[in-house]
Amino acid sequence: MEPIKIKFWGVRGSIPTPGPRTIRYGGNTSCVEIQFPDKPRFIIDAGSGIRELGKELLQSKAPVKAYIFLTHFHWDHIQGLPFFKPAFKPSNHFILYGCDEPDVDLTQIISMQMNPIYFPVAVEDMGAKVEFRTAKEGTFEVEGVTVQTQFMNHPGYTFGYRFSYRGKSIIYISDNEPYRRPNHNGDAPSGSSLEDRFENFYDNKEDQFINFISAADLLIHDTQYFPHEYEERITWGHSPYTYTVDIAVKARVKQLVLFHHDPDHDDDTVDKMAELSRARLNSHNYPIPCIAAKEGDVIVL
Amino acid sequence: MDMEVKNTGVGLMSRNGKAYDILIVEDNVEQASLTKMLMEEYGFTAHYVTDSIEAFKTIQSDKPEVVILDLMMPELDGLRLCKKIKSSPLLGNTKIIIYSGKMYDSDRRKALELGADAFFIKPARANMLITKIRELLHPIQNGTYQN
Repeated sequence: MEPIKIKFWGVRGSIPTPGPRTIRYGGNTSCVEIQFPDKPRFIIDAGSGIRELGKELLQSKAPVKAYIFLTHFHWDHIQGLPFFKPAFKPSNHFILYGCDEPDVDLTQIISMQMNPIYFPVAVEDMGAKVEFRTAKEGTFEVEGVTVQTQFMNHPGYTFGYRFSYRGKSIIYISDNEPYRRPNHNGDAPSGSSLEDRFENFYDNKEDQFINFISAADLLIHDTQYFPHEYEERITWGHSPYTYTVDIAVKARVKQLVLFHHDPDHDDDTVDKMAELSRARLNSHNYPIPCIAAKEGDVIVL
Repeated sequence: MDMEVKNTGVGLMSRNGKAYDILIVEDNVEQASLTKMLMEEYGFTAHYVTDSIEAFKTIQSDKPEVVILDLMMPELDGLRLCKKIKSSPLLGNTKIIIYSGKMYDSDRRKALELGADAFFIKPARANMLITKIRELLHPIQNGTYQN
């Protein structure tokens, strides 16, 4: 049976960071491609990394059909879309999935970033057939692949995706923060009255989340921070690597990829985070393969 | 055995002499049930629904005075439900308290624009939540009651 291939086109969080400091891991923002055997391409997020992927797709003589799954609409996840050249070729067909925002639907959200104030070509003038499909939190099928979405803990509405096909599952969670934080309510439970139970109740979002990533063959997850950086950026919607490692262990995933590198982390810093993550996995007695995502890397499942 | 009612005091009854009705819209059953019990302990009538689509139907039929609304729900998110309620001529006076584990400035601003009456981040102090509900139902106590 042909394997599933996962290719990293953009691994950086927040803003592109070209330059000598990031030359090994790459400076493009989030974009990952999944190639399921004999299926149209699945592209997750359209950060600046999608531009290079677009160049590869342009080499195809046959019309290209691809699905683009957007986690959310912060710049680093959509900024490559206007520069995705295959979308300007009339024979091509792209289907975009993402959630609506409370007052703005998916089509409008994408169209707005290509308003003439920001970009000279409108979405409807791109040329290719571009379809927008609003996704809700839940499960749906795309080309025989089961796609599950869950809202993550990140400002605004942000999906994590789980793709399952022929017994293999890949999770992509670019932006996510731990639910249980010490700043929630500093007081220790003082008793078992109804008020105490109410005030100390944490809902099961964390459990739902662990269930969502459970036993995945590959977990690609936000590791934007070291713990000391996270302490100063609580509520920014990103994880310290320690949390990411711990959930990988808890959910018994089989392979971990550190993703959404901080723009201020140079290559050596990312190396260090990967080393510390592997050490932490070992300390949990759970030494699964663990790497920091690198532009151009391909994982074969 | 009658349930002990705490601090019901003056003013917990609506003008038709019944306890005020509170609807909790929350997809986590355990959280919903705990909130319902808390409301009942303080003398309100309370119900919950875990499905936000169903919630709007229940609000239309039951016309609760207060809705305690979670934000992140699978079908219809809390902000959209807030907008539907507040923009309805028949339901616009319903008091809406957003009660969510996740609340960023943008959510708060949007909810305010859509007419939400109060916000609490989970887990809230029980007495602060109750005090706020009383204030919303009896604004005369702070001199703003108009109707």
